[in-house]
Amino acid sequence: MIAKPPGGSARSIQDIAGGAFLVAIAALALYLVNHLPASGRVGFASGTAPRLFAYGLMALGAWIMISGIFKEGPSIGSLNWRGLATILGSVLIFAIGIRVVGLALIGVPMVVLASLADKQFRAVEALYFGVGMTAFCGLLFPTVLGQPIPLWPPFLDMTPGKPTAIIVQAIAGGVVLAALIYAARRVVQSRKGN
Amino acid sequence: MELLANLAHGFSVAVTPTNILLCLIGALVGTLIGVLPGIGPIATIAMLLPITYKLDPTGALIMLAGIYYGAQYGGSTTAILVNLPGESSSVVTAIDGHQMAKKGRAGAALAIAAIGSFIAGTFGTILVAALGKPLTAVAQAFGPADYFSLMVLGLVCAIVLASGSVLKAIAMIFLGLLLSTIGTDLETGEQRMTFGFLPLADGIEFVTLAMGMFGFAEILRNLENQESRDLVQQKVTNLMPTKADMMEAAPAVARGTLLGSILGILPGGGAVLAAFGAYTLEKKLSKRPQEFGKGAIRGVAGPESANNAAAQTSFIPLLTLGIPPNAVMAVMVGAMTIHGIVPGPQIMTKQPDLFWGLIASMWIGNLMLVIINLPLVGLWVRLLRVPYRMLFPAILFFCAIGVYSINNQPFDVVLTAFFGLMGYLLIKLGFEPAPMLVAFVLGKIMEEKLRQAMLLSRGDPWTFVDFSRHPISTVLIVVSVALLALAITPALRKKRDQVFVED
Repeated sequence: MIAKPPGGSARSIQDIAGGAFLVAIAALALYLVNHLPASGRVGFASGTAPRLFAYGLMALGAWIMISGIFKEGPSIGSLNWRGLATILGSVLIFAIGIRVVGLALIGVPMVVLASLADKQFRAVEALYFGVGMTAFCGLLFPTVLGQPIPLWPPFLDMTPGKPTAIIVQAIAGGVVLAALIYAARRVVQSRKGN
Repeated sequence: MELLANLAHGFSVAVTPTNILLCLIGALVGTLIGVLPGIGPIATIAMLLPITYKLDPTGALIMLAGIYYGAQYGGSTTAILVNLPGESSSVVTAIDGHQMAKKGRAGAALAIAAIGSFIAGTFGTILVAALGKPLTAVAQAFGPADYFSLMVLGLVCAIVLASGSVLKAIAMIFLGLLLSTIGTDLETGEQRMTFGFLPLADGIEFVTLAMGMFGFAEILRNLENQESRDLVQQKVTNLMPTKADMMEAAPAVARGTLLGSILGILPGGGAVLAAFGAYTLEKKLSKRPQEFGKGAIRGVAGPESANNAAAQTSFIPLLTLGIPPNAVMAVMVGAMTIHGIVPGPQIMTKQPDLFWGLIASMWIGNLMLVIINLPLVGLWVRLLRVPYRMLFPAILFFCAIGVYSINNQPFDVVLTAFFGLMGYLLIKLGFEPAPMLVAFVLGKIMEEKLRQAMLLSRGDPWTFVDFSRHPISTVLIVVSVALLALAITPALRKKRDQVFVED
């Protein structure tokens, strides 16, 4: 995978891009710490270490970039846009959804969206899996591990004993049970079919 | 002998029902992730860290340690049976192990791998116990300048032993150091590079970085390379190796154990380096090198012993000096910090229960693995049939909840996604994230020591090589510079074919 642009000399696009990326990060860092003092009474101040590391990173990035112009190397290759969008997207909707609607409601969308990253996506399978994972984690984290993960949206009054709590949990239990039954039936069917 | 008394104390701590259970869980989970390709020890430990919050520190570390050496056992199973190394250090095992399996000798290969690993693990555990006290005593003599220089040496070793471009490894280290400065400055309380975000005021949460760069980025990478699985279909019979096999393998086990023990302690080393080194060694020493690659039993015994020995001994610098020698141990530092333990020489004196209990449980874990793993081979193989499209959403979900549960901050989850993107981009650009993680963990300590040293020397940067005041520091810096110079020398560059990837 050597990048040879038409009519040009062989360059390592990967190195050039990589070096440039690092230089950009270093520049950003330097911009952010600009207001911090660079040196103090004993030579060190709050801004010294970030500056040191940023300058070092910038120098290295520049070196990589420049050496990339003069040597052969691979190009970057294609980016997995589908994977990026679905996986990062699913994590983001989890982050937004966990406080707004709670784990129980955001779990299935998240798992389904993440599953879309794989070309062998099967919608029904992903749905069953989503329900299963949500149920499992919804029981594991709050109950077994004692972590305060919000399961339901804040506007639902879920204190034990209240009617809303009973209804919601009954529905959830029913959905999980149904999913388990249907999934089990499919597994049995596919085994019989083989 | 004091050593025996301490070990006995350690066993009394390790043999409680809770700790044995945690050891077992850790070892089994470790084997599981060792078996499953696409997720490695770093991501798993980071993923399970939030689960350990309710545990006491000793129990938590016992479980997390179990994951590391459990992964070494598990990786060899898939490497031999399916030619799919579940874990980087098993890549070498796959070469000859799978060939043995094809010839119907899978049982012997698996058994030799397990037995060799156990012997190596036992030796490694003894070494940890024996070296604990002397090294801790040495560490007590360290001042801030010496510590700083030691960490510099550690980073240099990590560069030297890394794969690929030295330049890129150094760049990753600087990136890690830079990221470690984000947050509130220790001395002045000023905000550094936090964009005014309150959640960043405490710096980047270490689990966020580890899970993003090693969990999410790895998943993204795996989705691009969907591998086919060459499963050895015949039932694995005859689990006992013949006497000839054992005799043949014995020297390899011994050499692998020794090599692995040394390479585990060395900063930048670890299980992966040990496995590759042992394979090369066995091939060079063999009277029939042409057998290697076609099912030589020494090609399995050596690397398997080495990688397990290294997994055990890499705890030594962590528990005595407080310095993580590789990326996995860096994650352990994070785990300790979360549980309120400060890694360093004082662990042995102030928390002997933790120190000796951990050591004792490492041996117990090895024992459990060698007994349990062989009968469970069938189970592990069946697990491999689970398609990746079901595995990775589960991993993702688990990671997301885990990150959230650290601080109950959605922002942490968003940050993890960001690091996942960064990690993926870095990999695409030809960088390895592992040195960055080590540097990130060391960065905070290094800056603190650096400032202390400068304070003590009243601003004199030459204090690090001032032999009269800091002899240790001087030696360490000189060695670092020499190593770095050697690494850049072209002649030695050709010999560097080691892999630093700890995923």
